[in-house]
Amino acid sequence: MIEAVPAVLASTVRLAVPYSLAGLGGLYSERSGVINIGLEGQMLAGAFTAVAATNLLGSPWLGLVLAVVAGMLLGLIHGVVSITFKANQIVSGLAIIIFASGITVFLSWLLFNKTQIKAEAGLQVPFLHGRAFFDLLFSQIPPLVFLTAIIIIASHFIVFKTVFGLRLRAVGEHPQAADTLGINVVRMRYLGVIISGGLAGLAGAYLSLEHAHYFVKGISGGRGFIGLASMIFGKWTPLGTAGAGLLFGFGEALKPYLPKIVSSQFIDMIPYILTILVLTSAVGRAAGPADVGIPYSKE
Amino acid sequence: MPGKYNWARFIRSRLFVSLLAPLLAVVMAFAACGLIILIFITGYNLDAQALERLNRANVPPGIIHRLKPLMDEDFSQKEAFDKELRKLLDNQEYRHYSAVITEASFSRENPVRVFNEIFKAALKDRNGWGNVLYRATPLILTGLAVALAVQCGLFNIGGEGQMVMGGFAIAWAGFSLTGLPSFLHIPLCILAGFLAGALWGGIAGYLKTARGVHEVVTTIMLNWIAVALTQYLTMAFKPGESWIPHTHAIADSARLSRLWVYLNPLGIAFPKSNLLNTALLLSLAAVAAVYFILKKTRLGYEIKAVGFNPSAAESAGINVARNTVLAMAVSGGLAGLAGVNQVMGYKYRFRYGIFESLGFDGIGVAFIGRNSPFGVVLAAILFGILDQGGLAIDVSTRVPREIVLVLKAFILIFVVLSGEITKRMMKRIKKQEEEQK
Repeated sequence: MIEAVPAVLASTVRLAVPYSLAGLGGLYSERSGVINIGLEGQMLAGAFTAVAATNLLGSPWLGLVLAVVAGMLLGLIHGVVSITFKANQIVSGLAIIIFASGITVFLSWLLFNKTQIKAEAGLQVPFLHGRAFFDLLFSQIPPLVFLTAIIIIASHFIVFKTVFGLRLRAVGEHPQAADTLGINVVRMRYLGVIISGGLAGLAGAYLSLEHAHYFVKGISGGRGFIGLASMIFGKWTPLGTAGAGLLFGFGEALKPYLPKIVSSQFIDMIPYILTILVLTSAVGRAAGPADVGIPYSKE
Repeated sequence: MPGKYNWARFIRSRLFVSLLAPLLAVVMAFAACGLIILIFITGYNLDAQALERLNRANVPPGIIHRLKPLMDEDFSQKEAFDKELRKLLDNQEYRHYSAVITEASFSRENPVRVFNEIFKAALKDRNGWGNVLYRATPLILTGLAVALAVQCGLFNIGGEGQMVMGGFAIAWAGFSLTGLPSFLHIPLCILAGFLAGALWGGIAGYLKTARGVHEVVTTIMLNWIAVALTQYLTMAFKPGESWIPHTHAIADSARLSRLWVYLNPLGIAFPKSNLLNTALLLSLAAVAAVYFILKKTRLGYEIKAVGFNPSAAESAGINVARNTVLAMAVSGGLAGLAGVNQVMGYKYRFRYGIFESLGFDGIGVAFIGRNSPFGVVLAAILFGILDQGGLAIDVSTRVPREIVLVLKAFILIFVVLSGEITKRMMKRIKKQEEEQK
């Protein structure tokens, strides 16, 4: 049992990355006042773009960047529909999920003639690659895990310690007041959803490039929604979201070691049940930004 | 001129605007998808037109003659086409003419033809129509579920979860109760599906009224809990020898008959593979029931009052909490009934795969149908046509069938956009009318 501890810990961290990144994505959007349930779709688009670009252009780092761009584009679409046109944010997010699940398979048929595409190259860190210590480290903990850790800590400072973060939160809490103080509500909300999509795209790239090493239709498998659950369980804070992601990742990492009576489906339910419990204040308290989900109009 | 006056009034009328929004959305979605097809779908086909072009480009007839084996064969990849050329031509000819031939054979897919294939495959004969209605049957229910909740000001996106809970309950009642006559067994199964869905929807309603948690978040979470729970239950009630994750088969007494059983003797011939079954009648009955509840009963009046303005309803003595829970429960129950078609009419077992995404499609159906019971039926038929016709285009065109998903996504986006735009139009019309007064 003891020998399994390092393996479980490493696997926890690996599994937590997509939850934390998607959760952070949800956070930037919701803090600005826009619900983004399209995370799942942005993740899927990122996962496909990362592998497709890696194989077609030969550079996994370029694939990573393009995956983020793909997520941002879908975030932008969400912004146009829900901020500019003030249409229903949930339906817009849902449409993004359906769109991504269709277009990724559509394009993988066209470009590769199959729906499971192996990534032809993995991410290698320049300078460190080829040294025995780092090779061993990165084989257990992929490089993007470290990038994720940096993004989480940076997000904590961005959201709570910078002017940008203050404005983002103000726009999500009380847009009218923010507007009178000269903050451009529409611009801040657009930035929120675009960053959100980019982070979800990054989560997708991690999933296909580093976790599975291939893209297959529906690879995100509900992880975008677990990201949403991480954000809520983490009470809309970056560190809390990352902690929740780790907790949910830990549950999943334990799966192979559990006695047979505990069915893996019950582990799958934990994130969702915990989320409902914190929202009902049965365990702790959680409340989102006050103005989330309400389109802003000056009238 | 009274005629002109009526026409102008019609354009300004609510009916026109409410018809315009979904129609515009569907047209725009087809246009956007057409653009995607035009951009992405290319291929190589040495058809009559290509030969004509080769003749004009002065390619020797001898070479054209040797290309005959390639005639009218479709290649989506340039490499594959090139490989065939290499096989048919010798080195020198290949070097000279391959570029010309490839260019002459290049073609794009015509989106109109693709859409035509979708509709043709779905509607060309009675069998197609039957299967379209079979696919529309569960969508009518999941669409109605969303539409009913919207009337109460609730956004129920938990149709997926309520549907699988109901679907499992139906299967469970189907295989665990035995020895009952059909006229008892079938209603019992239907009741089980309704109750399980109602329970799942009711939880979200209760959490909203008692704890103030927004139903969108709880229904998302309950969806995934339901999917995991039914997966667990499926494994628990799996036939021992089976490798497929499905439950035991339901008893014969719980199975619905296919409609061809009744229609074929009447001279309306359906092939025996046609899946349309009596669950369609249940869906239509549900439409009538929801229409009746909303228009003619006190419950419907209260639900609409709560949806229109909860605090006004409260001060008028309407119990908002009770109506919210009730509306969510009935909505969930309707979604739970989708399993009647999938389990009792089609697979005779529970399996998640036969349900997947029907609940989410219900949201699109409700929005296109403007949340009215009859609109939902029309929208469900549209989605049924897309689902059924989409199966054919893999074979008959170069376009992968996933274009149907893209099409549905565009329809959803455009329907909310045009809904907002028409809402603003209505406001402007009202303002103008007030100013004229």
